[in-house]
Amino acid sequence: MLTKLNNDLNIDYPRAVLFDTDNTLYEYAPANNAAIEAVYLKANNLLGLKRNTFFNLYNKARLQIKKDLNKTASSHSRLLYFQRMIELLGYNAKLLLALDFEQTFWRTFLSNAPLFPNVYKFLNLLKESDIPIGVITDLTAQIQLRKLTYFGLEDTFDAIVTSEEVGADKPDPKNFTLMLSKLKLSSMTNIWMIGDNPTSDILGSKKLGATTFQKIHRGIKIGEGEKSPDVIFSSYKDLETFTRVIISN
Amino acid sequence: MTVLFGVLSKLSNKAYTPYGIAEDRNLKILHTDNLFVIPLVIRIYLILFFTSDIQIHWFIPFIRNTISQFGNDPWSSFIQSGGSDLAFPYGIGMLGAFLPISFIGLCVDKLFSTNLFILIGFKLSLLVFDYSILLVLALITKKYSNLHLLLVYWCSPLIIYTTYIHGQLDIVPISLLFICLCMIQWKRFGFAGSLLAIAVSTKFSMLIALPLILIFIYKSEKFNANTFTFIKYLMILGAILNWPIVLSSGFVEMVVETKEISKLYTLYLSYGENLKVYIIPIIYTLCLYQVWRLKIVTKDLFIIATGISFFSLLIFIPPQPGWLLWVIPFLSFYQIQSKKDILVLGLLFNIIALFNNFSDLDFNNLLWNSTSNLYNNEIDISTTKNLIFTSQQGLAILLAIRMYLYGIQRNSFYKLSDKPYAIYFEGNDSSRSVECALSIEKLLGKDKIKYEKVSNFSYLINGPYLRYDDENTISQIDHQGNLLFIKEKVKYVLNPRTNIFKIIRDLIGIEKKSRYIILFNDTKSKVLPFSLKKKINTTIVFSSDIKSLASKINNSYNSGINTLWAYLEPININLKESNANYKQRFITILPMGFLHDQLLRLFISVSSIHIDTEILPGNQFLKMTFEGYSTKEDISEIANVLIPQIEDLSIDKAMWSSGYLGIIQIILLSYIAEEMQDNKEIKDLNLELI
Repeated sequence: MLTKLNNDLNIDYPRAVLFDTDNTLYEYAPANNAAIEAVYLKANNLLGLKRNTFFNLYNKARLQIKKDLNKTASSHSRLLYFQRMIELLGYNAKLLLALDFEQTFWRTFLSNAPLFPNVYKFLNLLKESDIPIGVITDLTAQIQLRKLTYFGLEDTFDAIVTSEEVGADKPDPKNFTLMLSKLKLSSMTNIWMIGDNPTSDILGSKKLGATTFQKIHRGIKIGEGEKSPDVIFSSYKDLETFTRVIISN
Repeated sequence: MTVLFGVLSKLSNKAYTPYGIAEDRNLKILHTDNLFVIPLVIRIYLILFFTSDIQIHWFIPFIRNTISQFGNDPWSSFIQSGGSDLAFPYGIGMLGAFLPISFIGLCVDKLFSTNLFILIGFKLSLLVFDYSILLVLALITKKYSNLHLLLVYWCSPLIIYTTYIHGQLDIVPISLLFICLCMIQWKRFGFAGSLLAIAVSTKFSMLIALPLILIFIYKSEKFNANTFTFIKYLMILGAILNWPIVLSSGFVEMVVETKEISKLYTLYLSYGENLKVYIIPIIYTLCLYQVWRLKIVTKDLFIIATGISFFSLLIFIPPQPGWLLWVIPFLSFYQIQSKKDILVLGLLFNIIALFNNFSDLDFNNLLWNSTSNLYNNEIDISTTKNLIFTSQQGLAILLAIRMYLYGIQRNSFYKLSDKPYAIYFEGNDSSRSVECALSIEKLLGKDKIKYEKVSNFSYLINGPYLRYDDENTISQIDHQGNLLFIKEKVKYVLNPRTNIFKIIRDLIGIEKKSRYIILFNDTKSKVLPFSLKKKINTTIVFSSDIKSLASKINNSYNSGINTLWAYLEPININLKESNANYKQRFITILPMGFLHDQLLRLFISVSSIHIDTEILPGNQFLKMTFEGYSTKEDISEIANVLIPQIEDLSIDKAMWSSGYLGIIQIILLSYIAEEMQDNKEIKDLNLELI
């Protein structure tokens, strides 16, 4: 399914295509759930934590870190969440345990994060058409680069910007302007931004003049008002067909 | 659907690669395919609007009687109430399969005073089992193409016709058997045993699969707790479900005394006037032998061998309309895996089998009569029917042969099952050799490994006690000069290293005993004619082909390529080994093009350890430095991605090692798996731990 919501807009050959990562290239929630479950099992095994206690403490730690660090890359750091959770449990700094939890989390996360079908095909189409492609993503650079490497996309993108590099999460415009400078482009006109989040991806890039595509799947709300995307799509196959028509025209 | 996926996920969590998010999504995509939806609509249409005579006259009255007299012996009570003794020649399992939904249908019928819904309920039960086979095929093939899977199974005209038009029930036992195979793959042995017991209780013919399954479990598990769990559940539930054999006279009359068993003896060779040799038991025994002689029975080999066994029997047994269903899931599995015979042969077999079924139906007699009028009754109807039957059986033979050729004989595991892998440790650091060997042994299983000390043989090669002459004769002489062993006309006397392996093989016949041979040479003196570095402590050499190993290694040595070194070095050279903070980094030098790309990607992304790579002068080798600690879970996950054939290697996933041993395990297993796939691009590898 692909629907153009902004009928006033003429969608032209893109000068570049920018992607968000989480929930855009793969479905985030199942991977995150599987990963946190694996950490719970480990915590249960090592510390005897019960399910309720673990999830209550984890959520408490996560909220504390997010509050403390505001909208920055580190506010998503699982290492910090687990470190805080261990502290909330009353332990002193258990460094190895925090690192172990973090590694378990990301290992499980990656193995449960298959790319959406036809992502490779769509990226290949852009590459074959010499359209520059970039990734603008929140979270720390290390884990986002690990993810892209795990997906086998390490040589695919022309540029990558992480919120760690910028110092603030999307929709902070610095994320987009840094990407423009990396791609040696002057404005967001005729640049496609593909993402899932109406605020971070759609609003953030739309304000700068990008053509916005929202990836829709379960649990994703379509942006409304100023956060409304120009196009919504649920399958990369449809997006590929749509793009192919634009490229051939 | 979510509940189903949750159940699948829970059931598969003992499997090496359990049902996960990727499989979940693939199944969801499968369900949105037109090739799924259209045949499903056809099935539902047939369920709602088509009635089968045998269901109306036989099965439904029996089910109705069972429900109305619930608690009584269904078979005896049905016969006592004047029902036909041909009505339901099946066991408790089959009855249980249809009762729940039929009961709901009967309740709806009572509510609206109709007779329709019990039949719909009965046929919906068939759909459940039919759909189960599709699911299981998707689960056990894993990397399937939706097009292939749906085309060969879900769109099969034979399945649709036999189940929903003719009204046969054979889809139920074969579905239970297939779920049982899936449970074995997922290491749910209790569940698998129970399912097989239920399958046998639906139709005794399913006993055909029992010896094959036992062989498969024995070959992969030996006599361990899993084997006994399977047998325990099979026997206990089998005994419970087959109580009617001793307690129900109706059951004996309707089910046990069926004439189907006598069909096993219809084909025979006459030996004089009184003696007969029955062909079908011989064919079946040969099929069992074929599976038994496989040294490594992978899941693919097992399923295809079971399919061939069913096929072979059906070729020689006078066919019943539903029996061809037994082979369709196995045939589909072969077609999906091999990507062969999907359109021409597979479709042709379906169509001919359909024609063969049509020719048995009454309403088709009308067809035959009308067409025969056109030809002035010149066509002999029975000859035509026989020709169609001959075509069906001919195609069945052809498909069975192709399943054997492409499914078994050309399967890499089958071809390599007689060739052991030699893993060769050399040097004077025996503790490290043993550490490596033990980690490999734990992974591959103790029963598959045989240890030999090569140093004795190496010594014999160069020493006075073993000699080979120009006529390719090898002899061994003891210290007193007595001849201990002589082997004449040895074919493969190529060089001293070849002789080592040849002699080991000839002297102790190890290749017949073990899948992997770990050879130690722990003498300090270098008796083998090569040394890549002066500071060698341990060497590991692995190859699937002992005969060509030596020449390859020598070539490798002479040319300086195809060799991998590995060693450990301290991160901080100022610290002593006794220091608590003393840590080492692991370094391998891999031939360019072998594995390094995948290793780099996966270790960085999964394990998050630091890896430094450096192309060495000459561009033939790449040096990889691993710094950090990989847990065995990381190693397991990396192996899972790196080695697609990992399920077939029968390894114990709990036995991956952490740290550098894990990296060596991955390199070894990747190499072996690649070799098994007959990938000629891959290079023989010589790993030296320095």
